[in-house]
Amino acid sequence: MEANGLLLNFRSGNKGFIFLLDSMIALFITTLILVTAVFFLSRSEESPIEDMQASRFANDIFAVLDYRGILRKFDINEIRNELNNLVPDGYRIEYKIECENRVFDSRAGSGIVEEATFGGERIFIDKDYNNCIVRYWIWTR
Amino acid sequence: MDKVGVFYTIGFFLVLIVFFSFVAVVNRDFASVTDRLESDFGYEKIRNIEKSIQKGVKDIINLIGGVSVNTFENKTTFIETLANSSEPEFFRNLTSYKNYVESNYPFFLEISKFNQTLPLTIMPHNITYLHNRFGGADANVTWQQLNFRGFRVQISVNAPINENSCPNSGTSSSPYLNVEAFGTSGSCAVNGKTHVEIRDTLQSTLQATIDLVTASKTLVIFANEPPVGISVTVEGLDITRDRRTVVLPENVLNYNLTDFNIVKNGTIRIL
Repeated sequence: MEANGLLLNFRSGNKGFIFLLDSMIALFITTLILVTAVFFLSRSEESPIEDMQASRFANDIFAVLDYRGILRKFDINEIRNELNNLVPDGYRIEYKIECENRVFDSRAGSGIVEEATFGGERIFIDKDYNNCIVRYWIWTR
Repeated sequence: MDKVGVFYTIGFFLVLIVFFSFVAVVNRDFASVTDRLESDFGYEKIRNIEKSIQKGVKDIINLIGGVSVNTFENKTTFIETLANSSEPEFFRNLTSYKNYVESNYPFFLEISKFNQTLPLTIMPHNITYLHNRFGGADANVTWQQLNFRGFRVQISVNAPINENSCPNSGTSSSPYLNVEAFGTSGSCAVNGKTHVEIRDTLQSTLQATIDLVTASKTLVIFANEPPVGISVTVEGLDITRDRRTVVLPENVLNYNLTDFNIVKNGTIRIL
């Protein structure tokens, strides 16, 4: 009877412990793989390629405004209309024009406090020959 | 049977090691790609600013200086009025622009290299349109090689002229000089001469003089009775429009960005 009990313990009692240990190691490894996958997914979401692409959109858009003489006029309504036509869907763009004699900030009164990290700037001369700089920021909606 | 489990475990750990080796490689490559993209992003930002500075200089030359440059097929044309009355405003705005650029960016605009003679060079032909002094009564074109066919000069004078108002002398066919003159009334035209004068209908007042000096490879246009509108077209350029540029002298736009390890001494492209 005692020998039977010892045999039973040997056959199934220790196996439970081994199974537990095995499953814990498996769980640890699975978690490690999942964490790695999540880490890389989150890194790919922060990809600078997307930011660079957005920044290029903004550079091109303001170059168009400059070469078409729209920035020179300092006509805010015209600039806004052109931006509505040129900015791709899914992007938002804000800008600030600083001339020697005046300033316009499209963010003023819009409640936007956080600036997008990506954007650019260009220097231009307005219609009265004042030197100006336009700075712009772009981000996805 | 028990040994099979050990082999499974060892095999599984080997697979795991391979997996994490891949993770390490991907992570390292990702980091290097990110670094490279970020530095590219910085270069683009600088290049964008540089281009806008060039556009500003071009606008000052064109809108304030009153000198416009056009190119079409195998021709490039320079248009202005002699003597250029916009000279004081041109200097003032150019100096103000230089100070504004240099106070906002680590760029240096060497305006002293072009503000006196305003040399505009067609490249790669190396044909330069310039002045003895910008704002003066003359405009010159110099060339190094005969890589074009000739000049067409259109002159607008502030006096009545007729078909006899273009007395001329000398001959040249390579390069050729074709001159058309327009007055407040009437016009005259001369082809293939080296010296052309534009006089009023009474032949009394000399309005403008055009000289093609092949020995010194120079075309000289002089406004004797300013203002005289001129349009100088260099014709038969042997390089197509797409590959032609019009630039200011070398080393007029310079920057030294230690953060990006970039040093550049460049020119400004007008066209």
